[in-house]
Amino acid sequence: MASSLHNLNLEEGKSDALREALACLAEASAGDGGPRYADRVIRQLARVVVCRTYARPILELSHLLVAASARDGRYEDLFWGVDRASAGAFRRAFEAVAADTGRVRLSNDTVRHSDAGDAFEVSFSRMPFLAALLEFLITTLGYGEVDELTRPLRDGVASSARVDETARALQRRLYAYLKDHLPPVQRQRRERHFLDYVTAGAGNRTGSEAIDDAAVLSYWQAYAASDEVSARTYRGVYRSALKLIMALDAAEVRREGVYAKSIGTDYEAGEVDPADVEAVVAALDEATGPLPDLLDASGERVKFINAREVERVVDLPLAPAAALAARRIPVSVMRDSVFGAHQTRLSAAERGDGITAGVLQSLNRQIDGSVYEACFEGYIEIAETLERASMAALAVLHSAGRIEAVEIALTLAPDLDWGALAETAHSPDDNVVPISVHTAAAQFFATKPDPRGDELPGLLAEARRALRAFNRAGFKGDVDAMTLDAMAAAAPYALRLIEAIRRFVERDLRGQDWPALAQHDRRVFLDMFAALYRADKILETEASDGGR
Amino acid sequence: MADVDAIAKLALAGIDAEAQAKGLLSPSSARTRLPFTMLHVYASDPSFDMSDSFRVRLAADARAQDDLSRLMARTAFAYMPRQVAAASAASTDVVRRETTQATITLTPSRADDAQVYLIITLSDAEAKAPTRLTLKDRTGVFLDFDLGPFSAGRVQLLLRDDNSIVTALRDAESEVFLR
Repeated sequence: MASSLHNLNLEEGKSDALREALACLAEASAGDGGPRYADRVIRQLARVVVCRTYARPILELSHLLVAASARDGRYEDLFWGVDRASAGAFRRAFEAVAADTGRVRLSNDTVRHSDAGDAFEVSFSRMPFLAALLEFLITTLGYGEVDELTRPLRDGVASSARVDETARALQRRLYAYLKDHLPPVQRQRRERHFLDYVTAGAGNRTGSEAIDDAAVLSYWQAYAASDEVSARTYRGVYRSALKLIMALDAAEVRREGVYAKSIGTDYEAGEVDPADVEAVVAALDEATGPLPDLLDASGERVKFINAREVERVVDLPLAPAAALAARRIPVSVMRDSVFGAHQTRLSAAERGDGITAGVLQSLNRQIDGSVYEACFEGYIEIAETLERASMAALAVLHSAGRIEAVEIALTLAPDLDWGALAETAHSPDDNVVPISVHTAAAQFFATKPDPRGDELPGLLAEARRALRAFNRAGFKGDVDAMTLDAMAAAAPYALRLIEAIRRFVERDLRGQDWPALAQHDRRVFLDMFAALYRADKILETEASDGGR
Repeated sequence: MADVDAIAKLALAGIDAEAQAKGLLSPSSARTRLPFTMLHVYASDPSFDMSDSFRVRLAADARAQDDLSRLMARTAFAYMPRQVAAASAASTDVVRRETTQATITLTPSRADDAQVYLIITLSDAEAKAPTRLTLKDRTGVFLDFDLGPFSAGRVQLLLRDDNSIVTALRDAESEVFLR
């Protein structure tokens, strides 16, 4: 026993080093105190590490190191001279290198060094990830070792063969590190158990088609109180179902491409291609979507959405892949929003002061036959608030001459006569009116708000009114440059969030008899809660205590 | 239509890997190491002062000390590595460290036994002069000392004999960076 505990501690110690390395990257900050690497970059890195799909990224990085070293060999100055790892920042850095040396060539979206015979281009949008990979290699293997291993990329001409050889050396070292530090994969039991359950009862439906609302509810009813599998909360079961649909769909897309692949993996023997696994993991990345993007972009400076509103929509499947999966189980989404949320509170009460009769009675009062429709109204209210915020942002960004105002105006008022902006700049005698973006933009920003006007002047006047009435951080008083930047960056995500909420409520949830479902579900869930949390006993005990 | 079992197998492998990746990104109780980004900021900007927490974490992270030392050796105006044992054994009251870019000497003051002169002479008097002297002592601690303006490629400072910079300069195991 002592020995196995010792081994367990050793294993945890090894994976701690890997966790520490990733945490170290997440902690790396830019000059303004914000993160140097975006969350999604860190998550992408974790995926590549776990799936061990680092061979190609390391080859790309090796080529990029040649280009980054072209000026004076100091690749560090290029990678870490960039404050925040973004495509734009790397573009500017490489433009400076290209101006100084003929060894680096730029295209619109890529960079390449001219040492290699075959052009190997790396896109600017890929560079934040490759920079994070380089910092990860340095953190895990040590700067000295990475510096030595990559020396051939800086000394003399970096031929393709030399770059390949260096990349392979780095790959071997990372492989050896991960062999010692990557913890073994834990098989996710509930998803397997759930998939077996739904497949057994699905008749001729297979894959994600086998998962429907009835299956999610019946599985929870069957196993919530079971010791066989951890399925006590409806939310947990629902999330497993949603994740399975997304994973199965992504897997099907990857497998359909199998026959286009030539060599490398023996599919007949049941092997799984790590690149396919990584693609499935990427599809499951739940931290993507308009809400996280909006919160990331606006930070604390601009409140398009407040904490209470975030809490109401944060669990909705609004990211594109999740939204697509949720269309298969729309009722489950709402059951989770209403009853899943209540159960979370019950579980918290159980862990805290205990569930009281008051808690149960309050639950009973809150859940009635209109509970789902009340939820929809709440979502639409949030979308409307976001529309008012976007309108207010339009007023601010238009006054500041920020080009982002155009997208907001086009989205909020697609029916306006936008052609007028281009037409006014040309003679009516012209048979062909060339569309000049520059002229149209100049016209757009020259337009004055006019409450009596229609078209754009009217819209801008409405935006001004919205701004005066919108009393949230970032929209009050003078707007400083950083707030303006945050607002401009966040506004497109606010528009996407509005679209996602409206599409979800007005399209995906249609076609259900929600009042009838609410009556049915109220009975089912309250019975389940009573059984799971011993509600009858609680009420009985409190009644007898009160009777004393 | 792709094989149903193969799809399920791939989907479940993806779910397992996603859980593993999440586990690696979950907050760890383990002490977080110093990001290389922070080391680079310090190494590339001689005016950057280490915060107390930076200093404490660096002192506890031998790998970061090595990384920083190597990085500074590449970026510094002049780098003087540890001296060989012979040089250490031959040390006298006068300490001398020399590279092709600069020479550093410590000379006892004749007027006051408790004081020494730190003199830095640049090989190229026209070169852009360093502004900071940094030492990595034998325990891995980094010590910064701001230099005054150079005149004709030379700066001379009077320091107390027990100054930590003086002590570190006398130790052949210290690494020296002019930045």
